[in-house]
Amino acid sequence: MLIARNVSVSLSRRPVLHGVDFTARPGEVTAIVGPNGSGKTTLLRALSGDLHFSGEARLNGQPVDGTPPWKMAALRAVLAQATQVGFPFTVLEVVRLGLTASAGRETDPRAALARVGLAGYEARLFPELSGGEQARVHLARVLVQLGAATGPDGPRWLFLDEPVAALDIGHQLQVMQLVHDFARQGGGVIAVMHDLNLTAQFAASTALMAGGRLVGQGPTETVLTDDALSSAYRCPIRLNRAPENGRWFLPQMAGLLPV
Amino acid sequence: MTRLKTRLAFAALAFSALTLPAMADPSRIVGLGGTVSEIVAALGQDSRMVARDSTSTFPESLAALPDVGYVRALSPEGVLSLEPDLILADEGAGPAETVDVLKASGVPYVVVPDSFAPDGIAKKIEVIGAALGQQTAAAELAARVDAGLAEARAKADAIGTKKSVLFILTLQGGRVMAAGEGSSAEAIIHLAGGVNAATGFQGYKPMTDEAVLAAAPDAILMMDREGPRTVSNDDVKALPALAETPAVKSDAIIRMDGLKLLGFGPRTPEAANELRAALYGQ
Amino acid sequence: MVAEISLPVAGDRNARALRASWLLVGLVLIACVAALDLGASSVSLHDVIATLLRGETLSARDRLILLEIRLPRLVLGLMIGAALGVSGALMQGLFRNPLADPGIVGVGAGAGLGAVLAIVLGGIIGFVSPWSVPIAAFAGGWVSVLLLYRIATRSGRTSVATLLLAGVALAALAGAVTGVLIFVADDQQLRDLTFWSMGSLAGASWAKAMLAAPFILPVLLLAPRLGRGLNALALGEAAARHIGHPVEKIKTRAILGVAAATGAATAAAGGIGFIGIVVPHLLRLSTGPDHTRLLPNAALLGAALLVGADTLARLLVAPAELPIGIITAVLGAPVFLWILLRQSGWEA
Repeated sequence: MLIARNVSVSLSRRPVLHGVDFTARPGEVTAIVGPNGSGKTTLLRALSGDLHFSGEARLNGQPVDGTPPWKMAALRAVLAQATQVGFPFTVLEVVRLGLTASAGRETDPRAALARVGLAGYEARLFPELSGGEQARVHLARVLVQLGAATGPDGPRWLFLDEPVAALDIGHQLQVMQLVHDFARQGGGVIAVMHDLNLTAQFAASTALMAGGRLVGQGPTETVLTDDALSSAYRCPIRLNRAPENGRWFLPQMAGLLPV
Repeated sequence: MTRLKTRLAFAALAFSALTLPAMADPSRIVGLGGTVSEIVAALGQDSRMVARDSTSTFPESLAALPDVGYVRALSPEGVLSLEPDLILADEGAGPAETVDVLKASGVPYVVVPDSFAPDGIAKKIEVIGAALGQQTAAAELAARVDAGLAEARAKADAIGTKKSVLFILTLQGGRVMAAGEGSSAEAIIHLAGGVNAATGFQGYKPMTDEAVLAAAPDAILMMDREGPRTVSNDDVKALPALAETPAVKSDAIIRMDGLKLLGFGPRTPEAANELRAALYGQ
Repeated sequence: MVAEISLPVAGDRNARALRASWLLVGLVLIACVAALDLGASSVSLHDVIATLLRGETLSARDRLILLEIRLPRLVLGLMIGAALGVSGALMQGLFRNPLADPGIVGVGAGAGLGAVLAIVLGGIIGFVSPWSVPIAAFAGGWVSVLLLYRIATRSGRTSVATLLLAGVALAALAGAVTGVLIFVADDQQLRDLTFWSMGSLAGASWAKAMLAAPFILPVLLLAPRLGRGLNALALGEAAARHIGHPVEKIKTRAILGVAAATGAATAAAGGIGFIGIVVPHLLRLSTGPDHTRLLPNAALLGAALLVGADTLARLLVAPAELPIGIITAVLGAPVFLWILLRQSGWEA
């Protein structure tokens, strides 16, 4: 379980997160959605131990801000938005960076590359890849870091900041499926998302943020409503439910005709 | 350090035992320091030299000898490679580590006292003469130099209105680097019957343009350098601060060989006479 | 050391880096033999070995030249070259910048100021010892690193950007003080300063080597252990922490290691440029940026290059010698420009 209580963050003395209570369960994908500047990434960074915060946050019972890095690294992996690599490492070398702190994990870096659709890319130089390919290399790196979805110390967690933002629709679906599988195997996934369609499709649970506050959290279908989204995004939004299984939405400006 | 000293001392002992016979009449001499080598030559012993440092430029016969580098940046092996049996070194030779190794090598290492004043010349000649076994010749040379200095002083004292002289070491970027009080240049200016135009600071310092103007030197004295760093007289005259000085207006820009002028060796009386002649035309 | 036997894997440059290590060991050995064999004097290893094989003892002069001049100089040169190569690799890894050099953390500026202080003030107060310049240079280097480190560290976290900027400010300040001291220096001291800033191993002695060793050797031995951490730092500090690396400890150790190694190297031989930048760069081009391999290889290549450059410095104008900084700059600057041109894509 990830349990955060009353988490507040100030950046340059300006409060950007106001007493957020947030929980996430293993076994499902938890999405954090909300407009730009609503505090989604700040919340994820606080939970990753990158920012000083007041309040309390525990992952599998361990405080996320007081636990040594090597211990946290065995528990959760973090995929930030567009991580630059300082030197021309090969793709294989970048994926192997995930191995450093958890030596002995069984995951083969090459298998991880294959899972993100980059088999045969091992010898390519990372800086020469496209943005989408780079994002998937980093995903392979965090998968390698965690090894399996669960371990002796409980479920392992993926913290993802907009994991599919740089990807085409085919790779978006592939990556979300992979992440979803990780959760189904017992792991925990917390993903900051912009795409409400993918959120609706893959996240069982969703937290909706606006203005540095959590304005809703729970099962995705109860959080993503016309009223809640319209109010959070300050824009009239109407959702269309898929007729067959109700699993996809097409958010649309209220008042405009569907194309 | 103690261990090093012991080892060096041991090596020195063994080495000096071997080279002792040669010491009586050294025939492979390394001269370190322009004035040192010049004195060796003045004693007629330059044929016994096997090497010199880069400041040893006079007499020209020395130019043919191997150059062991700048006198303050010597390497021990470079000096020892010439298998010297006597090292005559200016007090300022260095670095200190090299001097330590050279002293420990067992080759007799004679320090010639550093002096940038006329009074020290005789002592330099005496030390070098003793090391070369040329005491008589050295005494004669020292007496000749002292007589020359006395004569120069007498002539200097006889001058009624003394001219002020500004010694310019360099003119880098239009900045006048001048010789102040207590400098070697001041000593030779006094000996030539002039007064130092630059006062109020010690040694060699950059002077502001206004101070140069205020000093109003009657003459400008510079070293005669060869090569691209040479500052031509036109360069000197072109500088605004200097252009207004009596020296430039009367075209009194004097150039002399640096080693002769500032080396304080056997040629110092000659240098003083030459400078005095340039200043007063006598 | 047991060599890992691994089949070549696509994208895996470990085997290549390991081969490079053996090659570099050979290069260091060649440089050592050349340094002992060649010099202004006629003593050669070949003759020495022949003499010893005949059961004769060496002449005192040959012993002096080999054991008290060439050998301590070789040992000091190996240590300094390795220290500069490793320091460069550490700094570049820490700053994620292939152009970073140890000067960035203020070692050079501080050491330079220390040396000037010793040369000029020592001359004024009449205290001149062969040890005053090296000790003052070392102290100057350390004081400036510690100062920078304190400035850049807030609540346990060292900001690399602040370190960089404060380094520029400190270098300017040290430059100003150095300027004042140069103003009061006399002609002779100025020449001493010039020669110091160009670097030289001419003052090498066993005592100097022994003084430098406790500062350089531990850094050389421990630096490769920072390799994995520096690799992770290539992803940025946050990502390195997420992977489980103690980022603050790595930064502290790298900075202190560089201060100790470069400080001792600068104190013993003056300012020697370009080894710290060129060595890691050449290695990265051939065997990739993996610091676990780069750091030991940088020590080897740095040692071989510096000893080679010093041998040239001793031979080119023998019996005089060139300041080694001139040789490293003459060799290093064109290589450096070539690297830059390659990077900016002027060359296919």
